[in-house]
Amino acid sequence: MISVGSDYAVAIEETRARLGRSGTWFDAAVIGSIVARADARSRQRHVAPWNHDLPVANNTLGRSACAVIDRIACEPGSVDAAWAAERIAELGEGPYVELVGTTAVAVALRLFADAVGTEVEPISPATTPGEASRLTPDGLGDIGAHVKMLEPFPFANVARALSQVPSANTTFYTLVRPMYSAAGFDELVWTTPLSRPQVELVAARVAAMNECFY
Amino acid sequence: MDVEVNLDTAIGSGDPAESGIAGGAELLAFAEAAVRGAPLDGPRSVLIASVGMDGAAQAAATVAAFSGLVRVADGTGIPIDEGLASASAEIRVQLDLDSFAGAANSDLRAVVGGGADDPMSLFGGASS
Repeated sequence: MISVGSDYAVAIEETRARLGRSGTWFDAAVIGSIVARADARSRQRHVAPWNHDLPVANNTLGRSACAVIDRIACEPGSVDAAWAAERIAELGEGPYVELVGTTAVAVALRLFADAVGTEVEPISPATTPGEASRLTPDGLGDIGAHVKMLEPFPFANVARALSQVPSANTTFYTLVRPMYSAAGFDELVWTTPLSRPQVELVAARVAAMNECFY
Repeated sequence: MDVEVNLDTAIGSGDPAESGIAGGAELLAFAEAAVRGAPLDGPRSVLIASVGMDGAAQAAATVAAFSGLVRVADGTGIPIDEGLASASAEIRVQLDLDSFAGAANSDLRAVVGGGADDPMSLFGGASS
């Protein structure tokens, strides 16, 4: 097992706490179901599809939502504009974005746990989970993606991918920012355990294995 | 920092031992096993011996972060910006990255000056 520093542990706990609360389009119970399904798919990523043991699509998650979760969890590189358009027509654009972001978080939590050799605990609903806000931010535009994003956007391009659903965006970067930028890219002299080339080598290999062009 | 890196190892077509990066073979073996869901006890122990416990933790965090980032990028279909399209042209050809399905999300004819060569900027726009 790999011992994990406090920065990562805090990021995981804060992320798990956010997953226990309602989001923008889904309430806390549905988000819990999304995470459970995405984690199950990711946990069984080495298992043949016909042998998967997954939470069933019931009244909490419909068929279309499960299709998004399953594809994003296991075959994200195969998503194309036509497939995304079909799912968005069935689900709505905001819910589609929230499904993508929540699934990505669940997969990242699973892979980190597997990588360090620990377990993934189920998400516990918050005592006061709140209600789905169903609020869409102003300033969304078509930049040629499958979904609308903030436009113009003053920061790096990829950071606006989930900008249509701020709650999902915040949850995603609560986890991912410390796990990547903890490397200290803005420092001229790296003091992190891995050098920048070492980090970039791992990042590039993960992206290539997922056939991610971006 | 002058480091000669064999980029082919990043896409799995080169000899991991020839990455040109310290601990490269161990990092690649660990990352591949983690992404595939393969047994990790061996690669994890070898990695810890190579880069230390904290280095192994950072490698695990990088695997997790990029496993999330690729899903967000491909799920939303976000195109690469013009600067990155220009800056990455040579590398994309070398590694045949334009053959990935996600390449269809971007207008790769766009070639302008500049480039997104600062990974820290990836996170500049994250909401809080």
